[in-house]
Formats: sequence, structure tokens, C-alpha cells
Amino acid sequence: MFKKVLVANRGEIALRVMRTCREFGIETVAVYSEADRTAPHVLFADEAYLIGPAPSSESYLKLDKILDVARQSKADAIHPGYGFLSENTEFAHKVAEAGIVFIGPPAEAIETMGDKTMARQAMLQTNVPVVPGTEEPIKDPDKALEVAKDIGFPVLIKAAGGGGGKGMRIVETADDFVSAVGKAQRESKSAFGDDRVYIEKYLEGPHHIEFQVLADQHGNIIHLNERECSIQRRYQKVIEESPSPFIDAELREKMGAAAVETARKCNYLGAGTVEFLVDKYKNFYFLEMNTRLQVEHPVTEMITGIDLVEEQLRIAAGLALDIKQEEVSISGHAVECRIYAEDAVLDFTPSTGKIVMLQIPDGAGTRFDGAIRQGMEITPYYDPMLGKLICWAKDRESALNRSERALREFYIGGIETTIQFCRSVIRHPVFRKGTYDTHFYAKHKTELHEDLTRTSEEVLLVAGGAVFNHEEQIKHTSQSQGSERRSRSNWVTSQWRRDQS
Amino acid sequence: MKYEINTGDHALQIEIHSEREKLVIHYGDRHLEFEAVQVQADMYSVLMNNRSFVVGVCSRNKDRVNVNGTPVSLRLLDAVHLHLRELGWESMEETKAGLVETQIPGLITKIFHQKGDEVIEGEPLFLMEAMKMENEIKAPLSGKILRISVQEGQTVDKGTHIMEIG
Repeated sequence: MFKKVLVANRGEIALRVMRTCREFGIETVAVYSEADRTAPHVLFADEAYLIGPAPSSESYLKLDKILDVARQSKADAIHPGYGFLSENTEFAHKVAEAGIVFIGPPAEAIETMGDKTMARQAMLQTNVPVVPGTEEPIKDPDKALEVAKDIGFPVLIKAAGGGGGKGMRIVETADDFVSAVGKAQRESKSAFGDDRVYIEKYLEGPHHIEFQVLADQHGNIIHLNERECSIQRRYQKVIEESPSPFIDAELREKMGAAAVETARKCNYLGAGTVEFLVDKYKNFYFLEMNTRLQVEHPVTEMITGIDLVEEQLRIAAGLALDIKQEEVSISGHAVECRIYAEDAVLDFTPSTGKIVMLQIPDGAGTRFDGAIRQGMEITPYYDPMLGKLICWAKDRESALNRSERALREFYIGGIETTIQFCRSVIRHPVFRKGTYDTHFYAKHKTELHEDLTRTSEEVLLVAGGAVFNHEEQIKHTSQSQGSERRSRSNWVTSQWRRDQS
Repeated sequence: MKYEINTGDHALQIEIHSEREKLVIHYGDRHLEFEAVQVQADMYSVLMNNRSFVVGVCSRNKDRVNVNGTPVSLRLLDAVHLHLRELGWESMEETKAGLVETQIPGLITKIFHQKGDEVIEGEPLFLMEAMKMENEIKAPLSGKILRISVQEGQTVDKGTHIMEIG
């Protein structure tokens, strides 16, 4: 096993990886930007090295700098986490060339699966079904329009180098198509430096269901069941759960086998995720493979009892999987809520500032994977995700009750978060019933937002009393300090709106 | 003292009195004993007739309160405000509707218009990159662009005036 692992990431995932390392007696090396000197991952690690200024392009994406740190600190392996360099083939190559183990798949597998078009072409040679669409990435909007007309509207435009919903758009009619391609290209160009897009059929009542796979260097590949990820907002996952309330044992077995076949096709190694779209008739199609640890991996850990980071380390160190497919079981139900620094009331505008108060939920079956603390500044430099609340219980209903309880306990003061929005989703009757698909948010947006701001008379009276009390206190404080009373801040009648397409 | 709790949709007329260390809120025929104890920074424990609430009050934006996890937007109008309103003087504190400001820091990547252009409500005004997302900011109302205060490629702080439409 490794003696020292460098974690080329920040935030909750850096902490998540380091925690398992420490449990196995492996020393940890953190890298950090100038904005992150006192970030939780730096405090946690055994060693920490400054790699550059705050913008990630000058720090967490500087692969040579990170390699230098790995050599200097004599790390024998690098864990890339998710995002940043996790799916960067050049990085994977260079790490291997430096004689350091890259905790992830071989560069070739990242290359095949990282490019959606290449992945699709590879999958067409297998028995795994794929969604009808373009085989080649397209740059010319008019040519793309012809393809879209062939497939039939509505269609989906996706960035060839994209992920996490960035650069992705649904287009309902031919009239809107060309301008939507332009937008997707701009977004893709700025995010990934690649303005090629591809077009595919948009499915009815689609579910986004993914399978966790593990593949070792001895030819063993297993899957650890599915994660239901259909609760999305602008193609960003909000809540994930496992098992999925939509699929049954028979479909699970078929999809699991397809996931294993996918991993085998690209000579996969380590932990990976095969994403599928499942339509309302339970037809499933390969969507993409994520060649890294996923944000939502904890729900799988909770229901299988398997530590995925431990498995990643073991596989990278050349050990064989010590669990067989038939030994993988599902115990209970797990739900993950992603907590973002965003203002759900103001159309999910990112919210930055200082965390002045923090109360993290606790209690049975309640796990928080985060990297925040009181007094910490949330900067605009990095992803607005603050952490993930994962609740486990013996069955789905109990897991949802537990999530609702934990969300109510959760308090982050000073910035706006999506805590309450997650609560509104969890108590929505359609979500409760488990009959939702990826259109859930769009379909129930109004109800969710009504629920989000619904207040009883009692709550209004409490709020009014609290404002009075707070103003009296400020008055009192400023009088005693001889300063003027602070002026009343404007209620934000914001004109800020994100693109709503 | 008389106050009004105003949320835009609802208006509750209340009276608040201080009695020793506690407040009493009179609402209709209800008498509510109200006790707020600061737990930490902007977080209070409120007992209202012995029912327990955790309340967050943000110093930066006092009109946004959080009660047991539920965000509440409200204004507490005092007697002076209420009187001014009776006289037909609307609050002087309202934000100018045509002023477009940033809610977060970021980079202005594209501006679609020039000063003097006529825009219609909902039309894209500019693109801004923040937190790894491209945000398209749309016109809050129809009108003429009176002023553009930034340039493409400029990094802006939160609260920067970008344009004024009138």
C-alpha cells in the first residue's frame, strides 16, 4: 500500500479522500491556492504546499506545479478527486511518466470516455444501447440543424468536452436551434476550451440513473448498484438516492451488466460511474462514463458498506477486489442533498460571503461531507457546493424523514444556501411517492418555490419580533459606541437573472 | 408601539411592548410573550409563548430572516413609515427598478448593447462569468439604455452598477 498520497484537489472531496488515507495510515499531502491557506483540507493534511494564486487556472489546474510538489514531497500516488485534473489525460500521462501512481483509470480510458463522441463510438461496438444522435462532434450550426431535423425535435445540444450540465441545452423547435447552439458553444469554449457540440434525441419521461463500478488490475469488474439522479436543476444534480424508486431487480441486473460491459470495453481500472438515461417505458441508454469518483458516491457507500476511496487505493496499489458481485448487497436506503451557496429565492444566484454561523446536523444515520467552518469566507473562485448531507435509514420513507429532520437542523448563517430548497423537494408529494423523472424541477418549480417561501402567521410574527429585537440591539450597540445607526439595507429587488433556457 | 410586518403579500398589524426583559407582541386579540436570546453572531433562540424557534437575522440584509430553516422576506414598518405611507409618500429606500447591479463578483465577458439602445424586458443585456457558469443577464424592464458603466473583460465586484435602463 502507498505511504504518502497527494490529493490534487480542495474542498469536501480533498477531505473525503484524506480521511480514508489517514484511516489506513497513509500520509497526506495537500496543495492549495493563495485563497485557501486556511481551508479545511490544508488544516487536515500532514503536509501542504502553495501552488499559486486563487483562480484555479493558476493553481489547481497547474499540472506541472502539482507534479513538482508530488516529487518534492515524495508522494507515491496522486488522487485527483473530481473536477479539476481528474479527467485530464495529459495529467494522467505525466503522473505515470514521473513514476507516480495516478489513482484513477489509465489515460486511454479517460480519453475514450471523457470525450462523449469517442465514448459513443466505442459503445456502438458493444451490446449496450445508446441514445440516437450525432456520431461526430459538430461545429457548424447549420449542419447541426440538419441533423436535429433528422432526429426530430425536441433535441439536446451537448458540449463535446462538457460535464455537469455545462454547455447543455434542450431545444424544442427548429426556430430556436441556431441561437441555442451559439450559446452552448460559447459556454463550452469558456469552460472547456472546446466549442464542438453534439446533438441527440431527447427522451420521454427520462430518468438519470447511474451505476457505480469497480475494476481491478486482475480483470475483476463489479458494479455496486445504481444511484437515481433525476432531481436536477439546469442539469445539475440536486438530490440523489439509492436504490432508485423507479427500477426493479430485473432491470437493475440488466443495467448492472451493461455497466460492467462498458467498463470492460474501455479497459477501465478503479472506481467509475456509468450513466444511463432510462425512459418512462424502462428502455435504458448509455449516456456517458465518468472516469473518477463522483460527488454522489456516498449514497452507494451507505447502502453497500463499501468505502469507495479505500477500494480506489487498493486497486491503484495492485490489489485484487476482495468482494464478488454476488456478495454486493443493498442494505436500507440513502439520500444525498447537495448544499450549494446559492440563493434559491433569487433564482439560484451564487451567494458569497462569510459563514457567520454554522450548525451541522448530527444524529443517527446522518453524514455530512463538507469542508466549511464558521468564519470561513466563501469566495467566487471555486464551485459553489458547500457540502453534501447524506442520510441513511432502513427504508426509503425513513431515509426521507431523516433527511427532512436533518435539513431542518442545518443552519448556515451569513450566506444563502439551498438547504431549504432541498427540504421543499423532499417533502413534495411527487418526490415522496418516488414517481419523479428529470422533469421534476421544471414541472413543479412553482410549487417548490411556493413551499420555499410559505410562511405561517406564527412564523411571520416570530420573524417580525426578531427583526425588531435585532434593530433594538444594533441601536443599543451603536449608541453605546457613539456611532450612527447603521442604515437600513435595501431589499434586493434583483434584476439578476440567470439564463432560464 | 405600532408596527406592520409587511411581506409584500401579507401585512400584519402588531404592537410591540417591552415588559422587563421580555417583549410582548399584540396581534389581534393575541398576546405573545417573545424572548430572543442571541446564541451566536446572527443567530437567535426565540421562545414565543414557549414555542421554540431558531432565527437567523443577517446584518447585511435585515429584511431577510430565517425561521427554523424557512427564509422569510419582510419589512418591519414602524409608526413613522406607516404615517408617511398614509400621506402618500412611498418609501424613499426602494431600489431604482432600471438599475442593473451584480449580485456576485465575476467577469463581464460580453455586452450586447450600446448606450442609447432600446431594449425590451427579458432581452439579454450582457454575459457574466461567475462561479464557473456563464450567466446571461436580462433586461428587468423595457426602455432605453441610459448608461453602461463597465467594459467587456472587466472584473466586477458584487453590487457594481452595470447599466441603467429608463
